[in-house]
Amino acid sequence: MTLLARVASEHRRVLVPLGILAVVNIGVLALAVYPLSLKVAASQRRADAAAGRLAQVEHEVSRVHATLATTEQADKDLARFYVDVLPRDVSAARHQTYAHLAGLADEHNLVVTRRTYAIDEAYKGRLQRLQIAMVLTGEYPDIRDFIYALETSPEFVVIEGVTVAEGARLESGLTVNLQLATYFRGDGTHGS
Amino acid sequence: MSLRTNLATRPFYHERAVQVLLVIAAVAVAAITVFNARQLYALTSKDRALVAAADAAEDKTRGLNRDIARTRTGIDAAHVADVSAAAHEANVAIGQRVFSWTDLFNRLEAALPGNVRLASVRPEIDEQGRLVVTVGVVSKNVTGIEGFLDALEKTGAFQGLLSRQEHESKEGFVEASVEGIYAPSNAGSGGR
Repeated sequence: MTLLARVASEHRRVLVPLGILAVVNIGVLALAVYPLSLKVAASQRRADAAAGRLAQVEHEVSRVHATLATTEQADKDLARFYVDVLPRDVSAARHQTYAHLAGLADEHNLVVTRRTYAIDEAYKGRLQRLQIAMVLTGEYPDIRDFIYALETSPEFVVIEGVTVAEGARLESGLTVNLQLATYFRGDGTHGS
Repeated sequence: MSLRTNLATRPFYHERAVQVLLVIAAVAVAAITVFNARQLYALTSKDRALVAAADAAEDKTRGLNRDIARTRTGIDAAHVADVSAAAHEANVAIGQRVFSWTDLFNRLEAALPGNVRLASVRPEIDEQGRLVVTVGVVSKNVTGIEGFLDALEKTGAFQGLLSRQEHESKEGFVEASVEGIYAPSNAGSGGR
């Protein structure tokens, strides 16, 4: 009997349980811990993917709700713009501009030598556009004051262009063509 | 009285060294057992938590998807497009209305040389949403127009200024159509 076999034999009461416990541990490591670590890795991937999909869907929900909220807000703002700011029809647009523009010109010592109104038939949109052309004669500072008064008045009239009549002098006695426009929410039955 | 003869039938070995080795082995096996037990507990807990998180995320995703579908059913795509177009139209009209002609005239006047006069001014929004101002000017010579362009550029409010068209009038004046991008916010207020 070799020395090692003799030592093993003499201490088998300790060595056998230790050996069995070591084998059980290796079994547990191979058959339980390792497969469980693989399962945890798979669960981690699934949880990450689910979190990613959730984030995408939450973003989409925000987008859809934002679209809804923006549309509702735009609807309200447009209704307020149409009712509170713009004339309701061509008649109101004419009322709002006809006397007002003439009065403003008079107030600034300008002579309205010609004025035309026309509905812009080519204009495409929910609104309708009333074009106003005015020929004004007067001093340059008065024309500047008229323009300032027009752009700061509450009536929704836009200045689209300013043309100095051919041969007119800038310094005095100027003749100016003003291209103006206003918009109204008509139903298309404004007539001619 | 004592025996003087060695009665041992087997060779001697170091009993204490073997005991130390056995203790070391026992401690190692115990450590591996503890490690395995802890791993099993930790991995099981982590897996349970990850599965629960994935389940919760997937449930929430399904719920949100249903919410999106319900919300989308309530949104009228045609209405959204209509409101969007109307909002764009209103914004363009409001943009025209808030455009300050007084500010523009102040800048043009400040840049205008003595031998050049304004003939027309027309602002327009181009396809890229930039404000393009076309200014008609009349001058005795091209030097005056060049001086006007240089002075306008120095204000910082105009970019890309070009004399798009130029011709000589019957009276011998140079009539030019100057065009450039107008960005008053780049240069501060032009005053009243």
